[in-house]
Amino acid sequence: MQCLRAPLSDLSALEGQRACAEWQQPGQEQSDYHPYDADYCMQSLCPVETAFRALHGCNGGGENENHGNVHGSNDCFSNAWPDIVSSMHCPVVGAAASVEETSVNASSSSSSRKRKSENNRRSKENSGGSDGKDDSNCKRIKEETGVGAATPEAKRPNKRKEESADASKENDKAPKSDYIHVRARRGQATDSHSLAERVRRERISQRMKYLQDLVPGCSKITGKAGMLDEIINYVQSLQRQVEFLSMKLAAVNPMMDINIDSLFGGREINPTCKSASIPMIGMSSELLDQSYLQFGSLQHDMFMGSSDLLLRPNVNPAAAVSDTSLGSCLNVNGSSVWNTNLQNVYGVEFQLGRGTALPFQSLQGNLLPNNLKMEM
Amino acid sequence: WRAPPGTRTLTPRFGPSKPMLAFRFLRALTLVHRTAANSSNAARSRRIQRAAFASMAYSAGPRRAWSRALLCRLHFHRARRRCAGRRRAAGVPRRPSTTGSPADGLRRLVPGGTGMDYCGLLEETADYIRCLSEQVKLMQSIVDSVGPGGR
Repeated sequence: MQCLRAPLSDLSALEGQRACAEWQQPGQEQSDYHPYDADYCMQSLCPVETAFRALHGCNGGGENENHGNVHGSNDCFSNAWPDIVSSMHCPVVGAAASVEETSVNASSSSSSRKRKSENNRRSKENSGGSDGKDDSNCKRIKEETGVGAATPEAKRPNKRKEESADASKENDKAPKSDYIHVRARRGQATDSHSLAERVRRERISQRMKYLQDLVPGCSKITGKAGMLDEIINYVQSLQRQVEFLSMKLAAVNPMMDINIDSLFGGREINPTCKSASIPMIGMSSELLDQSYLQFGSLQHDMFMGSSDLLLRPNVNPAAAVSDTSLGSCLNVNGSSVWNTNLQNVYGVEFQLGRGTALPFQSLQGNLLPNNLKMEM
Repeated sequence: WRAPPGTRTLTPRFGPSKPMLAFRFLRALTLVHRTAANSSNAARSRRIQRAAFASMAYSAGPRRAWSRALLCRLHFHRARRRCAGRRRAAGVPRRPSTTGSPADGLRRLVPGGTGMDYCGLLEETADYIRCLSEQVKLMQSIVDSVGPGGR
């Protein structure tokens, strides 16, 4: 049993504790050790305990961040005893929290890291419940050594290639859960708060990068505060531009008014307008989106008086009014510089009848979609 | 610790719908010109500006916090205007925030930004910037298409 001793000296606290706990209460788990003779259990009891104390001693000495050492041992541990480890963990699953409680309480010199890993294992096994996958459990638990995290699922230090490969396999095999899988990086603190902080920081940096692409001229600035100022300036400039353009539009637009009246006069008579306008609205697929249907119903109630027209799913875009007829309508002031997309949309608007109300002026409480909570 | 199960990813959301934006805004624009042809340019421009924001908010959809907040603000102001006559809301003087987070300025700018965490604020800002730039492009194209000698 010499091979047992060498890896046992570096036995992870988790394994040691668990082994201790199991072998302290052989009555519970004896039945699960059928493939292995009792000699093994008795023989390895002493080395495990000595290794456990040794590990406590050296773990207390600030080995918290040096996970590589532990995992180096774990590797040969796993290679030496694949099935033993699996059997060790089988009873652990059934062993309930009481075993771990006693082991945790018994080990007076256990660091907080080990305690958290116990919690991790306990909660994981309680919630994960995948004892059928012994190997994956073993490898996952080995990788969680030293990771003090309360997250039930998959907080693994990404230390070694084979373990990361195993972890990637486990990711496929592990039961899908709703939690976000976080991977603690090498040399970084692994408690739950710092991991949450890290995830939050990553999300924020992702969004800042996205904003950097949006805001022109922002790529030169790297600081967070500088970026924020740039973004604020850009938003302010956009709002000022809207104001300025609305002033311009207020001044220059009466011409459009006249032409629309003439358009209405020409179009209203045509009874096919109504049916033609529906396919126009359905032209862009976005309009069939659910949220738009709710907004679209708003227009309906204002214009059509019937709310089923736009909600018809069988809108045929091909039946749209031809562009040529629209083009004649849209020669406002002889300026037909609008692109076809806008043209078709303008056609819709012109055909939808007069008495169009401003969206925000004609809203009444009963017209509001349900998920748009307004307080009037 | 676990993150909420429905945490959104950063894929850019559905994005502003340009045809809808154009449609709504133009409709609003024509209405403003029809009904307020006699009022001053300034009043009309205010209405057009409000129409721009409203069409922006409607096009963005109810899924965005800023669009909901913007529409709430517009409706609230409209209700107040109708009930209480023409009364200008006093503008709160802006103080540079020496204390507090650096995102306060952004929170004031983006509608609905005050009740959000920083992460959500950034996402809303991105969407707001996208919609604002679409609106500006649309308005600019309208101004351009009407021609240099508008009136």
